[in-house]
This record gives sequence, C-alpha cells and structure tokens, in this order.
Amino acid sequence: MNMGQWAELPWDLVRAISEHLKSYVDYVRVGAVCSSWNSALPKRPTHQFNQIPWLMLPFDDETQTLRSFYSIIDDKVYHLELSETSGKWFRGSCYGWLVTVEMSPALHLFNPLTKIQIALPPLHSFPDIEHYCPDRNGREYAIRNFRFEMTEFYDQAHMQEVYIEKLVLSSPPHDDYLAIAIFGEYRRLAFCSRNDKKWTAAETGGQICFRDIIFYNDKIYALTSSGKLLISDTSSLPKFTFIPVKLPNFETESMLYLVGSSNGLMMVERYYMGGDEELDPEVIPYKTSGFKIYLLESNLGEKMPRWVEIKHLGDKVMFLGYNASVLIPSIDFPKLKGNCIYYTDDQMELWLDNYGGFDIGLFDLEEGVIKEFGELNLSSRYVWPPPVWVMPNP
Amino acid sequence: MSSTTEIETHTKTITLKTADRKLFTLPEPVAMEFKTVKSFFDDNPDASSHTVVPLPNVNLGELEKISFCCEAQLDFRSRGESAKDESKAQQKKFLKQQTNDELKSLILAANYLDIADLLNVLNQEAADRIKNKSVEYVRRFFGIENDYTPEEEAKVRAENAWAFEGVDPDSDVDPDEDVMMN
Repeated sequence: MNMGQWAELPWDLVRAISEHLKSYVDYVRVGAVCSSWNSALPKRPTHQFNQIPWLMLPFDDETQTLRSFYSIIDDKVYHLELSETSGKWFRGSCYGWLVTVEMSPALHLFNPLTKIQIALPPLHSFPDIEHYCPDRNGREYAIRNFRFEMTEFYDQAHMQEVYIEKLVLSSPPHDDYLAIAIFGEYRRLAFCSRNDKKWTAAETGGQICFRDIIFYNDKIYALTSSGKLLISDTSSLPKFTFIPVKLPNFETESMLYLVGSSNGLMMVERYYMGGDEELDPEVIPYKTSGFKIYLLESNLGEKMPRWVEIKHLGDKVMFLGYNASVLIPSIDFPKLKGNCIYYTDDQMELWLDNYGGFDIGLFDLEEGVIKEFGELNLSSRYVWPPPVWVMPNP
Repeated sequence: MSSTTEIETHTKTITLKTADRKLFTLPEPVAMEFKTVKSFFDDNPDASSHTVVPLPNVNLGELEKISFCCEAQLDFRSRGESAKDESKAQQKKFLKQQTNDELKSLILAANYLDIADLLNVLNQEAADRIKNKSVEYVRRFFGIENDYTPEEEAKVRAENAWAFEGVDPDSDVDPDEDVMMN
C-alpha cells in the first residue's frame, strides 16, 4: 500500500470523511490531527450531528467557573471552563444554545462549546414593562398588570428568577431565527426576530398561562397549562389561533409538554406523587411519578380533533425540561435504551430556598417505572442550578 | 460499438488496465458506474468497447473488490425495495472483512474512480472506525505526520480542552492491526 499516497489525502476526502462523523467531539479531535487538516476543516461544520443531549450539572457559582456536562452515551463528564455562565439563570436550551437571563436586564443565547453569545432584546423590553430604572433599588421594574389595571413594582433579582418561564427558537441562531418566550405573571407569549430591539406580544385571544411552545412542521404550537392548543406561523404572527381539541382527563397538578414527532404532534403529561399521605413535604416536596403521551389525531373529517394516548415511543427517546423538547431515535446509540423519557426539573413555581432542582430521572415506558441514570449522586432535595439538557452543537 | 464476435456472454464488457499493469474485464454496466471510466468513453467517441481503459491510480486488488461491490449493488437495485435489507447486510459484511489499510486503499480507489455511492459508504465506515478514538490513533490510522509544534498543539487542544480530557492514547493499539469488532 502506498503510504505516501494516503498521507497526502485530498482535502475533499478529509472533509468528506469528517462529514460522516456523528458526534462533535470526534470532529474536534480530527481537527487536531495536523495543521493542514485543521485549516481544511470548517470550524463550524456544515453537516448535522446525530447526538444525544448532554446534561449540564449543578455548580457552585461562587467558587467555580468550570462547568460539568454529563454525556449519557459516553457515560462520562466533560468539563468546560465557562465563566460566562456565572450569575445567570437558564430558561431554555435549543440546538445547543442556552438561554441565559441576567440580573442586569440582559438576555442572551450562549453556546457552551464555542462560547459565542448572541444578544436577545433585554428583559425590560418585554410587553407590560412600563419602565425599568436600575437606580430604583428594590423596585427596578414597573410592570403593568392588565387584569387589575395597576402598576406593580418588582426587583431585578425577582425578575431574573421568575419573569421568563421558557424560551424557544425556530432554528439555530447562526442565521435568521424567531424566538418565542413564555413570560410574566400571567404566562403570556412574546416573540422577536433576529435584530429586533424589543419583544412583541403575541395575540392569543385572551388565552394565558402558557406552558410550552414548539416549532413543528413550519408552524408554531403553544399549549396552556390546562391543555388548550394554539397555532401560528411566521406569516400569521402576532396572531395565534385556538384549535379546539377534545381533551383527555388530566391528572391533577400535572405538567404538559409539546413534542414534535414524525408521527404527528405529541402532548406529554408529566404527573407527580400527590396527596399528603404519600408525601412528607418535609422530605420530598414533589417528585415525578410517571408520564402519559398523547398524539394529536386531526384527520377526523367533521369531528373535533382529539388527543389519543399512545403507550410507547418505539425506539425513540425523549428529553424534557427547560430545553425545547426533543425526540431522538436511539438506533445509533447502542447504550441508550429506546422508549424512554429523560427529564429534568422545571417546576419553578415550587422551588423555595432549600429545595428544588432535584426531580430528574428517566421514565421507562416499557416497564412503566421511574429510574435514575448516570450515578450522578445528586441530592434528592436541593440541586442547584437545576440541570438542563444541552445538545453539544457548535 | 457492439461486436458480433462476443460469444461468452450477451453483455458487453470493458477492459481496464491497472497501475500494476494487469488487465481486468468487467461487464459494461458495472464499468459505467465508475464515472472516471464513463468520462473516458464520453471524451473519446472513437473508442470502442475493445479499447483498454488505462487506470494508472488503481491496483488490481482494489479494482476487483470495487467491481464486486458495484455489481452486487446493481443487482440489488434491479430487484427493487425487497432487496434493500439484503443489500445493506451484504455491504456490512463486506466492510467488516476489510482491514483498516484495505479500507483506506478502497477509499482512494473509489475516489479516483469517482463512484459516489460507494465512496459515501466507505467514508462512513472510516468515520465509524475513528469514532471515540484519540488524536494519536486517528493520526496512525490515516498515516499522518503531526506537523504541529508542541506550542501549536497545546493551543489547539486548549481551545477545546474538554474534548481531549481522559482520552486513552491507545498507544498499545496499532490501527494496522486493530480490526473493527462488533
């Protein structure tokens, strides 16, 4: 075999082989092989990686800038030096970008692998915020409460913590994108495009208490916490239209998520151990005890669309939490068991000073049981900041 | 271009001459899967099916394997959807049998012969074989000299330090002997 011939591998072959690498960590290592390969390979690869999200583990903001990310399929922890995440709250994770909320009203998209930060319109540019005065200690934000027609004042720490529930992107922010956020006391919707200076309120016909949003099949779907479904798209914004759907019987106090799949739109119900006799609130304030999955059945002619319960996900795996919900085939990942839901804690309203963030695990749909994963040895009571799923995408 | 003296088979054949000066004859439909060969005939309208096509960058060994793969794929394709699984299984079996060196030779040959589908499959196999491997392993696999100075290499690694942590240097595994196990 002609070693010399092989050693001078044509650039297009080097690139072609690297485009078949399914995980970003392999791509990075291939770039470190020699200086000519480093120049030949684009820093930001043009192909899609086929990956499972990492779990960003809790950290002590005061003392550490090294952040740990647990990879389920490698069963190892990656450490990244990320001082940029100090003092920020995470309210979303899409395509490898974390949504960070600062106490100064800045809002950013942050990529932990490239450390690139992209600014979103700041917190004080949301609808309802009458004015923001950083000098007005303890009352920096003046917010219009439209229900009671009065102005209320909030401090910036509180706003950083609770104002945004979740933020979702239409696509990776390298090019044009649309961002939609669930915000405010009444959990309304607002959106912005790349280069907008402020957030615009969506018109939802009076619907409030939104719980999840996704971009799916060129449409935008929003779900309220009572299960009402609304739809929009880039040309219809700011208007969202209500879709009457026959609702299933939900468990009390369950949390709902929207997930897109190749079989249709799914709604996932996450329910908790409830009732005082089952839980000693001193020990475990709340804990996920199971999930139900529904598929939207809408081709019913005259009849109203309805949610039909489905009992399994085939070989697919779902990841839920503050991230934009994803459903991934497990076939390329022999270590990953299909038909499971991996979840993190996003029960923000129940968090107090000494508990929260701990409700993470996986639900095995086949066996119908909750399990732990990764031997992460996290506290069963207080895990801070709450872990978030992040896709390792540059 | 047809010859009435072909008595072996009713299929036209093409003859190729390899880098190691061997002659290799294969059915015309298979030969036309090699874009390089097809271009030869497109560019030389006077050439007949008897004209020997020179291929100075491919050895007989690779050519035989590639011809075998392409012929099998043509056959599966003609049988339609039902043959899809069998086609995949056959391809998988063939790839498993190739050592790393053989795989690399096939990639170079398929690239030279310009056979897009086969090259895709071979490149995927190469990518799969360097998955989760250290930088040193990848260098030995491709036979690449490390041309970084120690300072340059340290800088590149520092940019994405997380990707290089705790990776086994595989110093005792020689890619030439390390065959894909599954």
